[in-house]
Amino acid sequence: MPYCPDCGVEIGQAPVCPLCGAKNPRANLARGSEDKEKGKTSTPYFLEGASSGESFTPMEQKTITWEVISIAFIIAIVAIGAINMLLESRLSWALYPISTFVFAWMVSTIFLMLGGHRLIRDLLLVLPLPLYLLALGAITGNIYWALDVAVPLAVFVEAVIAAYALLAAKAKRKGLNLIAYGLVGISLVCVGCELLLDYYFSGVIQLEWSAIVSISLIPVAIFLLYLHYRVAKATNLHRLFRL
Amino acid sequence: MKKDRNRRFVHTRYVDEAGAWYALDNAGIIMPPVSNSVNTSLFRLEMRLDAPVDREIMGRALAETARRFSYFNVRLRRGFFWYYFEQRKNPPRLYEDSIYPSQDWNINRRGSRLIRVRVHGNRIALECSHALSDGSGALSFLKTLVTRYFALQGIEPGAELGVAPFEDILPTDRLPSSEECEDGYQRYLLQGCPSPEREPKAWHIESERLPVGQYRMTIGTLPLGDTLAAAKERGASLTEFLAAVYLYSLQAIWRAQHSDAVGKSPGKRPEQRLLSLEIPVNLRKFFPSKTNRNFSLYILLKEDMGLGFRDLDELIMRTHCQMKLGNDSKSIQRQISRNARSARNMAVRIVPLALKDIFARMIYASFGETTLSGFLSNVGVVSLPPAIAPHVEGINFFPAPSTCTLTNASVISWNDTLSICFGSLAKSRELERLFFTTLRGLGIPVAVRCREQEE
Repeated sequence: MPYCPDCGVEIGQAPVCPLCGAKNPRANLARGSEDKEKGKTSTPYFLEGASSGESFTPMEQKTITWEVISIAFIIAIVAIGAINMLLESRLSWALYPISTFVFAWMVSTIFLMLGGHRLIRDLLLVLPLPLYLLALGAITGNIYWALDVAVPLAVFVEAVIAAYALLAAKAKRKGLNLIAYGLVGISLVCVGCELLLDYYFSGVIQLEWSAIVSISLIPVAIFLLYLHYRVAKATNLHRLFRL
Repeated sequence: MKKDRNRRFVHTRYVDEAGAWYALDNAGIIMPPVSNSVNTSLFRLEMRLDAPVDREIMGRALAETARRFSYFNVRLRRGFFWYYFEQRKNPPRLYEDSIYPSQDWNINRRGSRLIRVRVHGNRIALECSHALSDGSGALSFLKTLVTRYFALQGIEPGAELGVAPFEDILPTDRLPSSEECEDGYQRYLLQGCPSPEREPKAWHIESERLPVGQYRMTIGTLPLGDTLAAAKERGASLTEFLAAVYLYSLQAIWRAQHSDAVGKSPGKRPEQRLLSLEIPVNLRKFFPSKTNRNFSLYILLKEDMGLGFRDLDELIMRTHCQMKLGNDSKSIQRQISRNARSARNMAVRIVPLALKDIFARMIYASFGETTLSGFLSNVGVVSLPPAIAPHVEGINFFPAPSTCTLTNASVISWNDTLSICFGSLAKSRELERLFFTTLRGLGIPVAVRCREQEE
């Protein structure tokens, strides 16, 4: 029976001692013969020291993914920029895909590198879209549409999505209430859209189509919330309020 | 009047138009607020059978056992003042086993049960939350399940179930009694009994944690006779002997970390000098309770490292004395009294659960696992009916994971084999290595395996 030469304990056919990590040469022999019997080939010697994906910690895996994505984006940006420079001797149309790549890189970086800090991650996720819109505004040579409409609208939509995510996360029971929150969110986005567009184009705010959408959706949302919290929940009060 | 009041706290089962529900016992109430998908509160018992488990038959056996142990077939719900268990109508299902047990299961997640039965090859395992039961109650469930499994295969137990010596293997054709799910702490609460002294914070092993989701199981098997003889030779019981070896190993790690600290910054000492080992005590030995819910407390073995390094024989003698002092009903009563009395206090009861959760986490952080460096639980020798025993090749018992102590151990004996199982969230295997090599150094043959390497 194989014993660990350092610890003196019996370690069976384990490849290494479970206590000190010393190699078990007899296990290699035994495993090799077992593999032959099963028709398998053992790991080539030149791969023995190589790490498998399983040996990485989740953080290491994320870092590797981030590095791969970053290098891929850099290569794409450099290639597109170079082509644009070669053809026109200046950066023109390439700025659109480059800014899009930078936007995608920022989002993926925030997701990959700040996965453990949810609050910071969520706060930072607000930034890329307005910055991207500002960049598009600057590239088109008219930053005012971005400043007056696109960025406020983007921030407003992000705020509504954040509120929805927060409510959904806090909900102890998830069901019709999530649909109701979604309907309220859609109403809010519609109202916000019309407000901003009215103000940008005419300087006068007059709610029309968004009001109709809201009047249609809000009663449905209230009905769903009523169903969720009052009707579908049959729980005895003694259980809830037992002292 | 007083009897009614007592009864109200002792009996945990209630029935209303929506079905049965149960109050948590006095030990269980602390677990939900401090449990998550890593600190799952799930300890584990497993049996290795002599043939691959037939999942269809095991599923039927589980359904019948869950009906008999209806108070185990529950899920956790939140009330306004307390948590409660809601009876599930469907039986629990079987899960495929994993090399990392007792992980990725949050009892607070909606729909999660408090038990998880897992199968792999010849192995059947029960993972049970401490919010629901202790090792003794869970062992009763697993023994009943396995006995029923073989009965469905036509292998009758060959002994009467539900009576000594197999009183914890329950016949599945009978209904559960209310005593089986009573709160033993409340039943045996002695009013007016003083509380024990507050325990100081203890030193903990410093080690990098394993990646989230990993919980390493290291199993050491020793001949029961040789280990008992080694303990007897030194004037100690088996638990005392193993506890002393555990303390001896902790002491060596403390000293190594102390030397490191001194090396890095001369004169600097580790903040904590107290080594403290928790030894759970099954209260059913002291009080005639039939409950299958939690009914255990603990003895804390303490060693002040400021007094210097002790050799193994010295630690065995001191452990023997500390165990003798703690292992009596009056000392245990003081702990019961402290814990159970607070749950009857109106000022505690009227606090909403959301606030109770916050206080529970604070109390646990101050008086819970921070006061111990590790724990070693011994459920003793398992007995199975004569017709079933030949079909069970091995039994293991694993502690619940702890992010505070990182590594803990549990002990179980079956068929002249002593199984010592370490469960660890730490990357370091130093405690396991020191523990088993110390036993080996005493001349006891030790075979060690790690579940990661087995699969």
